[in-house]
Amino acid sequence: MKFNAWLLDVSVHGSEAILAIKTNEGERVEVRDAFYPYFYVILKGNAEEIAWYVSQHPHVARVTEEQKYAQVLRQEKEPVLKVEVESTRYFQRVIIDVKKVPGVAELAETRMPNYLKYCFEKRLTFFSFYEWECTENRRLKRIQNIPQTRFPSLNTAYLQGGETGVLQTPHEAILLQPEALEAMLREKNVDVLFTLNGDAFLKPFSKTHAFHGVQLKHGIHIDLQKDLGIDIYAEGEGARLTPENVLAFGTARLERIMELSQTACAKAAIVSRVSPGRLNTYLHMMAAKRKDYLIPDSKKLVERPKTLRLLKSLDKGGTIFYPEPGVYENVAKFDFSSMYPSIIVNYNISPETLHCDNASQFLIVPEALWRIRTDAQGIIPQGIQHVLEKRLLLKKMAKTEKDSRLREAYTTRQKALKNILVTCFGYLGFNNFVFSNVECKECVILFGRVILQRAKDIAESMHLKIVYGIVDSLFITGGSDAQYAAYQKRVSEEIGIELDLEGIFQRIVFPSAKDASGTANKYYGITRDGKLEARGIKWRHSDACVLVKRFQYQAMMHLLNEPWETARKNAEKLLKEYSRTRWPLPDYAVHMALRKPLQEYRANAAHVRAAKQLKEEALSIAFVHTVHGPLPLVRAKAEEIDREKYAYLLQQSLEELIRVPLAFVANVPSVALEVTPRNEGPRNAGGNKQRLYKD
Amino acid sequence: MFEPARLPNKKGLTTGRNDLDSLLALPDGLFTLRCRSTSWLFWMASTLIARNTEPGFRILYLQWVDYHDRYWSIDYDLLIRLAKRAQTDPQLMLDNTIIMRVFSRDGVEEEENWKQLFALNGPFRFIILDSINGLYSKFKREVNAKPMGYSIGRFSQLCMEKRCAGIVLDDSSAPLHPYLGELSSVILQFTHKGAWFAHLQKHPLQPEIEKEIAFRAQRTLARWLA
Repeated sequence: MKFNAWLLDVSVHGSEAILAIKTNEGERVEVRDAFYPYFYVILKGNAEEIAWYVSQHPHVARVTEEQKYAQVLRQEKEPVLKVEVESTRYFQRVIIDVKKVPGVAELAETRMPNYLKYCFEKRLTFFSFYEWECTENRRLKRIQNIPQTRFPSLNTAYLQGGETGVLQTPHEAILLQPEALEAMLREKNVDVLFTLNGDAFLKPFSKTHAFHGVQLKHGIHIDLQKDLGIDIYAEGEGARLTPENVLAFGTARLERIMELSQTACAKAAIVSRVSPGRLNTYLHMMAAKRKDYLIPDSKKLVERPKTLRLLKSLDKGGTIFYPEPGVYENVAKFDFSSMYPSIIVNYNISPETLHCDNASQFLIVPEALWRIRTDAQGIIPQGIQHVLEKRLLLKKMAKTEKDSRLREAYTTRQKALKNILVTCFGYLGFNNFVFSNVECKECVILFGRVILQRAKDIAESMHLKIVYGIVDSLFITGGSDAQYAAYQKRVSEEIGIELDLEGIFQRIVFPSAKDASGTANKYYGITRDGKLEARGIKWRHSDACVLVKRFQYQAMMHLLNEPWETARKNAEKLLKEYSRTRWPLPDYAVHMALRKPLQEYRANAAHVRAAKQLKEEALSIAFVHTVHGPLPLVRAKAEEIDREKYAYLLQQSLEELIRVPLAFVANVPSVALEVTPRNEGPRNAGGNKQRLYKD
Repeated sequence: MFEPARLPNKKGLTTGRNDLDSLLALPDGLFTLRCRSTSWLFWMASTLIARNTEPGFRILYLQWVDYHDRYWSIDYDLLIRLAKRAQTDPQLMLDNTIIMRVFSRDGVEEEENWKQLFALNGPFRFIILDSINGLYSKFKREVNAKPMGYSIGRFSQLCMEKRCAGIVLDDSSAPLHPYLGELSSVILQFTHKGAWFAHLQKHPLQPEIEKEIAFRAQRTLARWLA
């Protein structure tokens, strides 16, 4: 029988792979295919002898000799043995036994998930559309991909926890016991089940609870709390999630999950539970297998010995052009699009391409003078290129799409891929990533430094002024819109990485550090379309209280929209008003996360002191500063608020906005601001009043 | 440019302080320095590098660190400052000190990596291992302590083959690994109890002793003199 259907899930049990697919008619079907889980043996003895010996194992189905790159750094393929085990039940047993066979150097791919191996063998990706040919009893015969730009629409349900749960579908709510869950999901043809913290409350009832949470036999289980936790761009989204809107919320997140699942070839249930770094691992495992590399079980190779001199010259971060503190107008912000991933791809940076001194084609890494071969694409660039191209395509599709629903879907998908791209650089140096190599990471940084410097040189040759630059962003002034566009085009073409014009600031302020020097990552500005952007100030800090944030916001509105002198006066008036007013108690609350048990904190910080006063330990604390010290919000009283402390915090928050050498502000008469510290004086100074700037 | 010296150097290690030097007081062997403070141990390692750099001799610094805790933790400015204070040529120190960083136990146990180390050309003044437990501390409950013992043995072998002193830094609170205790010629434990104390736990030529190591608080002026 033949039919078209979407692939939703793959799992390997025993000696078969079970594929969960969804037909165009909405029917959920299970297709089975024979598959022996396998691993590889890297040899130090005679292949034939070892193959014969291993094949005598009662649970080994087949042993075949193949030619593979046994180690990432080997330049030549060598004979290895593929050992197929007759069932997943005996997999670990066979591994232990084969390790003891004389002539076996080591094993590979013992930790790679079996479903991933199956998907590789069959060239399958999740949530892709295929033409299926099966026998009458649903055993797979043939499968053919039919490219699609969209994803399937899935039936969803939400399970509320408790002894008797409520299964909510878009049409009904059903009371059920957890033991009856799987049967109900099958009956209602549910594809995706959402829960809030389901990995915890379903665990006692599940036989399939694994490292990656509770897995279902029928349906994909997405624990939304975990999914939000691992999404690096989901800040604040958790606040929108309520038990009433779980279905709608979860369905909106499905596009993201499906995109990551398809790109990284990871099961949807796993995507929502693992870090983006782990997705990098799956991505690069597939890239390595396509190039006939064995996936090592552990990362063993370390960086080469270096002199302290060489390490000192390499051990740097990205370039920073510190800003001259001041107030600037008409400043264009440029940002290289996915700079580090693009460098990895453009310069072919990968552990096996680096230090290839005998390569016929190579390029030289600046400063380090290492060689990178360019005659064959490396594992890491191949994995990343796929993601970069897909993201670019989705962005283009989002721009040209007229249907707003589809446009939103494409935007969600391309943002999801950003999770992989922003982590690929850090992961390149992370010791738990089997293909990591610290020297590759150093190469990326070195190229990044050269690129930013080149972009600066181009700007200066076009008579534009660099105000500030950090790693992959440049703030430039002194040009017209046409000049900025010309600069963008020239840099993108010359460097080979897209430079995006993120926006033009009508006004932007770079406050100085306390010693009047320029400081990185601290600015606030307003774009031409009225959008406020800030870095490094209290308004952006998650642990600043509402009062301070509100005050700073209002002060910034003055400072960014009015003549500077007037704005400062208004901000100072606002400060007095805020200091005088008695605000509601919650406005004074500081919210902080408690990332470890209280007894493990060495420093007795305010939030720790407040948390110790709670009856039970919590994951976060809301506290206020009172005359008796920091108290949890639930125990504080409005009349006990330490108003002096908050007045000081407000004053500090104003100071960090207006700490600007007045010589750099055009048309502003110089005025001194006297800052009065708290009674005990600042901690690191003499305790006297500080005059920031002299009259 | 590095140029190897002709004769082996059997001068003892110096820290620039008589009170500490009198405790180390051996030209060769394995020295184990224990302290809960990693920054103190790094200061000790930097001082030893800065004070014992000599033309014709290399220093090998093995940094076995947990990637999350201490990546990018080598304080080059401190090293150079200490070198200037010791009247050592900082450029000589930068050229003659070799560093190899390992971020995982698998990397420590891999034979290929040890082969790289054994293949390095000397002569060596000494070899520092920072730190012996950095990659093992998360596995305190592991029953099989063989990997750490293996690494200790290999390190000791490396020092013997290169015919130089070995210095092992240990920042754990766990008892000293018995194999390391056995192999070490000198074991020195530093603790801070209001002031810094050095407890000499093992030395072939001295009895066990604990004595205060006086440190002036660093003053801004002194720092800028370097």
